[in-house]
Amino acid sequence: MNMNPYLPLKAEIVDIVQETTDSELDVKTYALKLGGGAKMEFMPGQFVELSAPGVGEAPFGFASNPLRNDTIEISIKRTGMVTDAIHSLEIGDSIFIRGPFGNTFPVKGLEGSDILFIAGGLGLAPLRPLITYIFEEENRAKYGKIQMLIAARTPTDFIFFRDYAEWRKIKDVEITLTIDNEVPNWAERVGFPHNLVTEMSFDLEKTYAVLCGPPIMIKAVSQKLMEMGMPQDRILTTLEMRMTCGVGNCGKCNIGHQYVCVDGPVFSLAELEGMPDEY
Amino acid sequence: MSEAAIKLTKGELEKMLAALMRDRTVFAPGSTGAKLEYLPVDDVSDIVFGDELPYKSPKDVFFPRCEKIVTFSENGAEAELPETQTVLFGARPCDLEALDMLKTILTQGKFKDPFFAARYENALIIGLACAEKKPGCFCDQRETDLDYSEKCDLFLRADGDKFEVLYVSDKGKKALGAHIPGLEQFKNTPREFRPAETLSLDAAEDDLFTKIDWEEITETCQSCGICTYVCPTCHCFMFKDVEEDDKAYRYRNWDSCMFPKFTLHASGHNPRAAKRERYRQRVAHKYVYIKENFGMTACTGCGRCIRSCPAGMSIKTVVEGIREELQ
Ligand SMILES: Cc1cc2nc3c(=O)[nH]c(=O)nc-3n(C[C@H](O)[C@H](O)[C@H](O)COP(=O)(O)OP(=O)(O)OC[C@H]3O[C@@H](n4cnc5c(N)ncnc54)[C@H](O)[C@@H]3O)c2cc1C
Ligand code: SF4
Ligand code: SF4
Ligand code: FES
Repeated sequence: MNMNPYLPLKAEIVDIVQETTDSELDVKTYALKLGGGAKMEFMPGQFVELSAPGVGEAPFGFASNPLRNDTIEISIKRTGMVTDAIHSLEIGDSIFIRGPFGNTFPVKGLEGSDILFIAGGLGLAPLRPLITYIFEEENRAKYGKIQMLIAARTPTDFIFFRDYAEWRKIKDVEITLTIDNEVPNWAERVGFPHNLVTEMSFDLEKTYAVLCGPPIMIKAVSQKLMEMGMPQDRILTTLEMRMTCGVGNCGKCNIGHQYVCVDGPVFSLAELEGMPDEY
Repeated sequence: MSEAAIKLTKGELEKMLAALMRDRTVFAPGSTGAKLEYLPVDDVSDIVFGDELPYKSPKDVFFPRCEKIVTFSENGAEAELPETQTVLFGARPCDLEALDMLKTILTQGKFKDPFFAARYENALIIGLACAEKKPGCFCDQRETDLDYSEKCDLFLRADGDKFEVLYVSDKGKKALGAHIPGLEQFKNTPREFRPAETLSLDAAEDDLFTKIDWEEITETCQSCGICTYVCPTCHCFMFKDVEEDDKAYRYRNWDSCMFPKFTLHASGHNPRAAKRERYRQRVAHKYVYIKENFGMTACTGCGRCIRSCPAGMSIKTVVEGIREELQ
């Protein structure tokens, strides 16, 4: 981290994967290499600020394995000025990046526990660093059973679809895919995640739930989990807020006395309960 | 050691400031029209002495309302940290208090703001006592003593047609020593600092959200953001990129939590869409959140937001009302 937290570094786009092509959900994953062979050390849950010079800057979560940081991957949904500009870039183009920022998922605290991942839409992207970190051979034995409930509106809205087959081969991993409405030739589940989560069986004594997705999904799923008896401090999620600086100085992401950019973005439901409802 | 304090005539003070102008940029109370503000001056005759409080705070000497922070070119991204040596002359005790708070917030948190830090470290700050409280000021109820502050390098107090000078820091002593031979012979006893601090809030965050009728409080607020622009402790900012020739520049501009778009997400969701929520943010941030994080209340009682508000809002009255409601 350089001494000027506002100064981005130049990176090269080395690969682009078009994840979804829907008019409402256009997501591309960018693989980036920092200039001069530099590497960015980060941990699951953290984020970066990406710049399209002349247009602006926006925050995005890391989407790749922190233990394989020769390149870093970031999934970006096209929504507005900055994301439009980034979506128009091609392999070989440069992009500017600063970070890593924010707190991390408690990778040590999760050791020894079973984990229930629940992701909606693009919400899988910020969970992927934690998932791939746990699935690393050197780490897998430290964690218990992993269940994943991945939701998307339609079959073509899933991101990182290419990973699922690999993940399913790993010991003690169970993946459930679900879409909102019935379509022909869909062999997996149909229904909202908060309705499916009640069918899942997990040991309340030793399971953490890690959620990410649209706010409405997070609210509905955590409500169900609590009804099932899961304590609030075992339900983890990551918050989104409008951000400028990413380093606790610009005031934009302030909620109560906390700053989502430095005190978050990862919060437990217990922590969120203690915060004003301003997110 | 003599019992006499150091005293400068106005002429001697002007001479000292003129000498400082040779290799530093001097910011001092000046006027471009009807109102007084802190302006860069290159002629001492442009400095307005007297007891009037400039309508804007001197925060932009260290945190300009618009500054270039990144230059993007073929070679990458570069930043030029400010190297200008400045003098801030005539900052009042309330503003010295505020600058010290900004220093804490922007340089002692998790990430240091290198632009603010560079300017602050390179500055000579000359404070000036207020002879009297102005309409709207309530520094006597906050942690400010209108007669003295040690949060500067030199501190002046008008005394008849002279200025009594105290040196507070080594930097100040050196600067003063260059003009007053035999500095050591004079008395340099800082006056006792007498903050009253009777107007503070010990409210729980939750109570501010559930027990206060912000809708009623903010009925007349226009969301214009003037209160935040004139405030010496407000420090929210945003970035704005511009393209020129084959380069792109990123500027940092003051932003305001009073603006509806301040928290607007790209999805259209807005956590503080209503002005009652935004005004609550301004009050709670100053009186509760910063206190939780840094142990101080980020309102000096300078009264600027009260005097400049087109809608007649008063943070003093609002805080007093909350105290009545909750305490
Ligand atoms: C911690 C974190 C992690 C995130 N991770 C991801 C991720 O992994 N992938 C992903 O796709 N997204 C992620 N996001 C969301 C992402 O940051 C937004 O989608 C992005 O900021 C949209 O930017 P935009 O410029 O394209 O959108 P725009 O719509 O152009 O701008 C965003 C918002 O700013 C407003 N705005 C723009 N310019 C101005 C202006 N000058 N003045 C006032 N308002 C203005 C717009 O009205 C809009 O509401 C994350 C956000 C956070 C906080
Ligand atoms: S309180 Fe007054 S100055 Fe501040 S935004 Fe409202 S109307 Fe403007
Ligand atoms: S809130 Fe108002 S009175 Fe308090 S420091 Fe800011 S401008 Fe001065
Ligand atoms: S983004 Fe600036 S304070 Fe969090």
